[in-house]
Amino acid sequence: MESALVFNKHGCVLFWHLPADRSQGAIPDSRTLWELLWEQREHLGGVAHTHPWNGGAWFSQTDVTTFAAIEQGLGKRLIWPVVTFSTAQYFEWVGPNELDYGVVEHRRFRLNPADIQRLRDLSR
Amino acid sequence: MADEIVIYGPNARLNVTINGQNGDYPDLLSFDSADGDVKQIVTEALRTGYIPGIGAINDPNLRDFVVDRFPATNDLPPRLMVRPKTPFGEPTMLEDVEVTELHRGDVIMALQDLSAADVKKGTLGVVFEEFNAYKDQGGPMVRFMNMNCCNVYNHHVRFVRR
Repeated sequence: MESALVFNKHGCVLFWHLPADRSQGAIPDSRTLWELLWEQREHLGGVAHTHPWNGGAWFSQTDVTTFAAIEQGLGKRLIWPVVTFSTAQYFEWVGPNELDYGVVEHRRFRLNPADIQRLRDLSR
Repeated sequence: MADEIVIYGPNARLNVTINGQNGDYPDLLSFDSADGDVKQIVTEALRTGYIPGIGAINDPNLRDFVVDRFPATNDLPPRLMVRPKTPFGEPTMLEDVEVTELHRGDVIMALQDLSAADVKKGTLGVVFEEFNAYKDQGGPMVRFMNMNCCNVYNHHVRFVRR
């Protein structure tokens, strides 16, 4: 089951996003998630979500359009980790176009490994 | 006998969130307005700075925004809310696939451990030969992320994307 966690600027978990209607392939649109992101916008660092398989972590077209839409709504840039059972990648907007997201290798920000593992466990 | 009162026409408040700002559209809209119409109205209002609390935006793009609808309650009129979408994942992902439908380049995922390629359940792979490529009824050939290859058959893998 795909799962997500919302974290603050310091990488601490704000909440887990585990809607009942999520599946192995998708987490549906959620007004509840948007309201939580809006409420926490001052402290928000980003949203991590899983692709529950072994292999490379990359974003889908659904993911990247959601990244851009949420950032446009909040008026701020976020970090978007994508986590598989074997790896994790941290994506950010790199520009210049609206959907130009990529891995910023030099960024030192990392989520707590225990939180990443819990996210994986919640996705099995 | 009192006449029944039926309210026609615009009756819903519209709230918009964009660029970290939030505001109510000054006019009422019909609660039943189509999503596309609501987004078009908001787009034009944003260009001109017509929504109090939200500064003018030169080229607003609401393609990936959605319209939420809240029916009237005893205390509140009907409301519409325009906000960013929030889904993740690949909604086109299939639960299972007939291996005869797999083509070269398709990305698949192992639904079980496949000892022939030392592959664990959940591993991704790419199809490089289709079903019956050598006229032997052999399943599609897949190279997995561990670089090992094997034939796959029904219920071994799930289609991920093409």
